[in-house]
Amino acid sequence: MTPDVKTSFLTYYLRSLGERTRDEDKGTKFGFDWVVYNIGLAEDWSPVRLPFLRAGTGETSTAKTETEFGVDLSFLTKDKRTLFVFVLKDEVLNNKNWGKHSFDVDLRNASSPDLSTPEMSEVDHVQIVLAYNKDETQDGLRHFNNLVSNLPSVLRDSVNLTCHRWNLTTLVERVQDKLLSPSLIPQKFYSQFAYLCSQFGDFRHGSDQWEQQLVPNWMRFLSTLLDDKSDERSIRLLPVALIVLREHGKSNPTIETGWIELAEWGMLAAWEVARKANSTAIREVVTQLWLEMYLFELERFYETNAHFLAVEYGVAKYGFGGFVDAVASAVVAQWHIARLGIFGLAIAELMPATTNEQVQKKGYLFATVSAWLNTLLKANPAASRPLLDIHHIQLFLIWRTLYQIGRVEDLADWMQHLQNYLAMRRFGETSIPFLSGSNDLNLVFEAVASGVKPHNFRDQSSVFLMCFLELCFSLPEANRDCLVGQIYRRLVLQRFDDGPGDDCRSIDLMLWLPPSDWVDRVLTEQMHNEGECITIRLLEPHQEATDQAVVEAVRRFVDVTRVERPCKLEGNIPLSVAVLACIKHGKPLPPEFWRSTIFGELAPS
Amino acid sequence: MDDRAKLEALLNTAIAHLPSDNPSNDATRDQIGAFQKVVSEPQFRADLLSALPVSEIDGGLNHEQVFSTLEWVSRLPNCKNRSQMVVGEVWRCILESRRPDEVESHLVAFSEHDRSFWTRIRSLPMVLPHLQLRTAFACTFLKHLSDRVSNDGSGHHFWNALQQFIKRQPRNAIELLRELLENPNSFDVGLAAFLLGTLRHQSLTPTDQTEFVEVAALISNQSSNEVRTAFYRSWATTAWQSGVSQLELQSLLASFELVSTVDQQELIGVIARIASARNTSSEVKTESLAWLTQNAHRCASPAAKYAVINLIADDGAAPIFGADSSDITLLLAILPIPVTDKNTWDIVEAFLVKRLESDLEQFATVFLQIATKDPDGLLDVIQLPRSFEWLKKEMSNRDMSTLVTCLLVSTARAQRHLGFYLFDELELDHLAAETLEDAGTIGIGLSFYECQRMMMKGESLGRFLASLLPFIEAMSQEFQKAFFEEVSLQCQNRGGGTRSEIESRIGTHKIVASILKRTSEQFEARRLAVTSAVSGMSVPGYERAGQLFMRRQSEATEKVMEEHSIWPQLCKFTALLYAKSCSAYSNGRLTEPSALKPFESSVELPIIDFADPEGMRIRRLRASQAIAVLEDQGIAGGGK
Repeated sequence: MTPDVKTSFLTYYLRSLGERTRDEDKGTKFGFDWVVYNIGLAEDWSPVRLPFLRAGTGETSTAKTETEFGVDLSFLTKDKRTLFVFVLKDEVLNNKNWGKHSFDVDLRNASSPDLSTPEMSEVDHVQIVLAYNKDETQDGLRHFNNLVSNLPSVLRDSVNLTCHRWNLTTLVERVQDKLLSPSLIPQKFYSQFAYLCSQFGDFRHGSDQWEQQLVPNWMRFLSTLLDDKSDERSIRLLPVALIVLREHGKSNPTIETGWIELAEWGMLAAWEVARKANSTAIREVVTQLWLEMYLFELERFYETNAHFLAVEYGVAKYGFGGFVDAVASAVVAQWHIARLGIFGLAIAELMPATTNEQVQKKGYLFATVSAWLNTLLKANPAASRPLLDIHHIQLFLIWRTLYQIGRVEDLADWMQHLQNYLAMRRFGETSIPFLSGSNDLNLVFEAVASGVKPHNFRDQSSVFLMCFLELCFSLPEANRDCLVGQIYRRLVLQRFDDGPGDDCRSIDLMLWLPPSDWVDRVLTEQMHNEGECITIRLLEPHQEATDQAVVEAVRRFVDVTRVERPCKLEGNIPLSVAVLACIKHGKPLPPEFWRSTIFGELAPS
Repeated sequence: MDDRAKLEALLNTAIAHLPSDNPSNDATRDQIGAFQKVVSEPQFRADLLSALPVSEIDGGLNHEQVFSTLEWVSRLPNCKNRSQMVVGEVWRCILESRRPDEVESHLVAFSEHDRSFWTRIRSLPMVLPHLQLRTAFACTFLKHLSDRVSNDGSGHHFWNALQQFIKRQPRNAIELLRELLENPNSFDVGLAAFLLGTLRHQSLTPTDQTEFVEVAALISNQSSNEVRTAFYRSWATTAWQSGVSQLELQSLLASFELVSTVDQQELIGVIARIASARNTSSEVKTESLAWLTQNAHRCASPAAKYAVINLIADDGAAPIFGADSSDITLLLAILPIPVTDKNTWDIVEAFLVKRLESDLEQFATVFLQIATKDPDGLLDVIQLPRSFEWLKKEMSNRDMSTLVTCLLVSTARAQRHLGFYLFDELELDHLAAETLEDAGTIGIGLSFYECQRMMMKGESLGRFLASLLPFIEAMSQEFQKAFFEEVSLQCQNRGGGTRSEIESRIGTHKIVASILKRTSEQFEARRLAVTSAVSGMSVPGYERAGQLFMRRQSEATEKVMEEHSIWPQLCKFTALLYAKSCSAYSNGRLTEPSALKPFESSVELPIIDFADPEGMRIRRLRASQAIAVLEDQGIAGGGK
């Protein structure tokens, strides 16, 4: 995350806070009093007066209702010689608010603190700080300066009095300087989030501890943070939490990809809030996060690391010297394909293209992402090694990224290459098994490590191959027919080019059709046990599997299913977000994602 | 004087006649004769019997006492190295004085004895011929002994004893044969063959002769293959003991076309054994050899092949083969030899080693001829663990480059594989340039594409590619491109062994130098990439799978070690549970502790074979396609 982006999100967050933190019927209202309190603790000041009664972990402190005499918080420095008095305002410092929101009164009251108590006996300097999490106008500044110039500079003959102003910018700077820690987050999340920060610092992204401990903890945190009562402030807390996490993960060598992973879960939770809330403001905030945090970070990450994608065999794991490494390398490659693909999809979907400049920028990004992806595919054989049936999502994303920029030749070459690679596995020529329909990576690892396919390793059914066949229809006819025939004969039927071999077992092709409310439920629900799964027999046993016969059979199948089971992808979340949800949850992708482009949009019913 | 002293004194009177050296001359044999005369005298035997501590137990002979007495006799200082003779006479004396049933039970006890069997069997030739045994008992007893001695080195004492028995009791020997025939299901081929073969040229009474001929005919005409086998094998016994006449040989050869296929195989083996027998005349040997040369191609059974190979490898048979390499012709005629016939291949190995030691060029010719006739068999057997180690060791001490190069550029797949195996195993430094040149584009192309399908040590691959470089310029542009691509790929695939060999041998070549430079850069780039944010992430389940894989590797390595190393066969392995030093305790003694000494060996893994298994497999398929085209061209006489 660049400093600018960090500052930007911290600014948004602090600006969204109220003055005081308190529990209300509508939910917890977060105030920046907690932030100032923690800044004070971070400066090693002792609190003298607080606007709340401190509570235990997981709770919100109770706001005090007593008269404040203008003082919201006050602190003594460690040497007990300086007293900081804070006057908090969650308003713009301007002429109107100066009187309406008691800026003047509170500052005057705050400028006469009670120094008679024993703990104040050594104080020789009182600093009054007007802290407001908004901006100011010239009028407001003049009011402040006028007041300050008329206040005495010495109290009780020996105590100096000075006044300062912490506006939003100053608050953000102070937070960046001292408070990028779990303490920045509201109190009720503190202990949970502090634990997360320590795990993020220790656990490698993708490790067993990461998957089994950190991710579930993060999900629990998100469900607490972004529940049904979430508002703009809660959502704005998400990037702040991610900023703090990043600070704690500096020593973790996998911080970059780990952070992206957690950000993705956060974005799905935020989009779910936006989907349910039906509020324009919330939707705008979430869209802003999607664009300016997640996609921006993806772009930054790949800009920084794109040259590594181009290194031959660079996207790889070399831990154990066997085919287990090849499987792990494929997982890493599929991870990158997914992120690049979603980035490309999101650019197409969400980036504006009304002005010339916008069109140029969009085009440039398209070209860049497709170039990154193409480089990854060319330099790394692991990228042509899908392991699970669910990797049809990555297949779709590769197709989509290259197709939408017009790189049909590259696409055709790669699809032919993928077919060749899969054929080697299909015929048992390598130690890596064919695509696992169980979608369980542990089974693939066990098969490769032990040399024996475990009992529940299912590779006799495939949605991936059906998706592969249909995607071929985006290619020019010259490439398409031959490739479709090869996929069907070699991969589906397991036949050699010159006829069936011994012991060939064909794969059952399948297609998954989602329930009609798929888009509304995709963010949070599994759904792979819902919808409809069609088992497909493209050709009758007596039919010869010529290129032409298979092409016609696939086309007929697509036509029939689109007419009899129309599936429209309409909802109020971007499709790139839906695809991300499928990847994260391991859910199949509805075929209409590619069918609408290849075979045309469905006619309105 | 106590009994033992008396006995010793008595025996010494006879022992005094025995020579101290081996009976290799007439004087020695006379001395033995004198000994035997003394011990045969009735008075001597009577005195011996009365002095011997022989008692009875349970109404029969105390076998253990007899064995311990014989053991005592064998240790008499004056026995010198003729103890088996002395023991034999004492033993015979004891048994001749006992009832037949006692003798039978004693012989059974002997045949089953753990300690005494292998020492006393040496004395059996002095005892058995003199015993009058019931036929049925003798049949069982001798079968049991035959099984027990099997292929043991001491077995010749048994056969020697049986031979003496047959000479002395031919009538009983014939009865034995009949007894064996009574039970075809438990027919002992070896025993029957020996009896038949030994009796054949014995001096027999007319009645016995008639009887023998009848029994021999019965055996040769039996429906059971096993029984007829005994008939054929008996001729080998006859050849070794007394020789086979030319008439007898011709009669056997004449029957060849008339008998079954199984019998034909037996006959081939027997003819080979007849030819190699020491008592066979040169005329018979020559006629046998000529016939074998003509008919060896019909040799199919392992036993027959073994017999023929034995003949070829026998030093004593060398003169009959002459200088026209008829032994090689015969060897080639009986190929292929099944890989499982280890004994036969062992003899082939010995034959090849001898040829290698005497004439390198001829060895190469023979080796190539075998590799042409039976390339798969030779390749399979030479690759077996601990197989052909002697030959390989001898080959590694000589320049095999021409031979190996010939194999590498062959149009036969198995020969090329054999060539690569030898190139790798013998760690050849280079290929023979002249042979490569003669091979032309087809041969060079075949060996190049074959190397893409082979797995060998990285260093060997590097040396091979370096050896090809001087000939690449004469090849097509397409081939040159493929060659340098392969060099580049393998420098990355085997960044240790292959790259260092290529660097040291052809590193100054312009294209190779740029490949090496690019390879170094790629390694550095890859090192940065795999430690970067792009590849730094872990993968769920990866660690556990890695542990499982390492365990499997460890099991496989242990298994290979057990197959390839002699140590697991010789030594007992003990797994220490704790500590890094160990001592041993036995028989009340504790040794000093000794520290464990670590040893390790490493092997370079081909990194791209594991990083891109699909791509490498496709590459090998393409190599196969290229090979198929070149093989067709080569076979069609495409030449250069």
